[in-house]
Amino acid sequence: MHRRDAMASKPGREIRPVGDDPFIELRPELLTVSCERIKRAVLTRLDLKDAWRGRIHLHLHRQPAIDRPVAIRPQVFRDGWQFHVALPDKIEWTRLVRAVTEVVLLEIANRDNGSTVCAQPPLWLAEGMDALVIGEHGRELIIESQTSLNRSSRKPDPLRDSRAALVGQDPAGFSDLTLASAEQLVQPAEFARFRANAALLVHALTVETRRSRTVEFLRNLPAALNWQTPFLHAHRTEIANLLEAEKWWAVNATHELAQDPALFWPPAQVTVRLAEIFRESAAVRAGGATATETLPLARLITEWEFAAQQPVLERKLAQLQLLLLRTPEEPAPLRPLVTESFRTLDRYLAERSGANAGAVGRGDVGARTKVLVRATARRLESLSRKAAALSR
Amino acid sequence: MPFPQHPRAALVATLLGTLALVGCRTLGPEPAPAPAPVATNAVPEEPRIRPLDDSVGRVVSVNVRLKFAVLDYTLYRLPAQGQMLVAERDGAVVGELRVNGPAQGTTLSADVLAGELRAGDRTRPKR
Repeated sequence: MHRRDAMASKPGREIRPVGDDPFIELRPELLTVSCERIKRAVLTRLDLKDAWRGRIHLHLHRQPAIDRPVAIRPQVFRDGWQFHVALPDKIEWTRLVRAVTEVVLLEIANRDNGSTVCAQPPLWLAEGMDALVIGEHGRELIIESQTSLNRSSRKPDPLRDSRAALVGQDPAGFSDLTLASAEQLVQPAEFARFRANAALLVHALTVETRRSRTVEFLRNLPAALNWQTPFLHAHRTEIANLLEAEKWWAVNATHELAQDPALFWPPAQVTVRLAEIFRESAAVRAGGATATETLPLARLITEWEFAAQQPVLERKLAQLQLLLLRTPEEPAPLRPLVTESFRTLDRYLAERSGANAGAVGRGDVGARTKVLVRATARRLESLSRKAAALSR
Repeated sequence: MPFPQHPRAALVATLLGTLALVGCRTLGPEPAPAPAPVATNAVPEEPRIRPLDDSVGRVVSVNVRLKFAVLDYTLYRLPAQGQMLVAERDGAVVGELRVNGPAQGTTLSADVLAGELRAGDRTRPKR
């Protein structure tokens, strides 16, 4: 935590905590520092060094705050591209970050563009990059005068807002997402969903193994009439065509949404999974015929030879461990139930493996093992009943 | 080689020959030749119990237009690329899929070959 107490102690200065007012007053000397911060955040995500060639001009105008995107005007010269950004002197800080993010992407895309047509990064890329940069750095990107700054040392999850916006929703399809235009996204809810999906997509495209390909895509934009051609070319080792892109995105988005470290499964899902773990389907051969049966674990440990039980129970143990990671604290009996199920199986496996050095048939089971099997079966039945009661 | 003319040499040669013969006798009867491998159609016996729940997936979403499904294998072993799967709902088979496409962690995509799948259906290897 860092507080600029020195400023606070000066008389006559009013200190406002950052984040109260979405609007900020732009001053030339502070604006350039803020822009450098935003640029650095974008370059860091793309793992690029600052090797700018095109110039970006910021024009500050005395005018009321705007409620539309900031206008960016590209201009081509003999020695390259220049971009003019017209800003009011009072603006929402998120609008400023969005404008600077886009103009930085424009500069990268057109750095080697020898034509007179400015290459435009697609909307999903600019919007997704902006959402990630804001998600990662927040208002710390903006330098403001007469404000205190509470800096957190913990790096936030850049996808936190996107995950929250997509709770209970499937990710958008790749073509639906990437072909959406600003005109189609006039409803705030629609736009929020688009932005959350775009952030997920850009996050997937800027992981360590893909960010150089994403930079290649960006730099090759001027060479094609659409963004899809350089996109597929840059990601050709992973994505062969647009059908593959749909699959790749569907898998990655689903995976990314499930990766939320704070995401516990709903209790109903945990009890369903627990019920699955408490039973096993098997093909059982008897008298030349094979039948499929599903039996509870209590029966499995009583009826099956230990050699057949062991791999199944070891798998169940691993599944219970993973389930525990996704089990919420509430309702209260849920976590102890999963933990106790794990302990019961673990204890049984350890004692049974120790008692039976090597696989032993049913007829060889000693009296002690019989007691162990019966006690474990009873315990498993009881746990299974509790899980069923919770799911009702 | 010429036969030795000297009587002692002949005696030594006879003794050596006898020893050689006796030595050979002590090796015992020549072992019977190994039986030639016999072609057989016998297959290794299948175990009496074969667990079926080691690779169970769950349909997360279905792209009906492009005929593929996203499957989640959290808690279970992932199927191999190209593996055929069946989708089940309430214990009945409702569709058939083939694992074909990208995978990320425990999430993967599979082409829908037959049937109408829904989110929540369970998938298993086709037997």
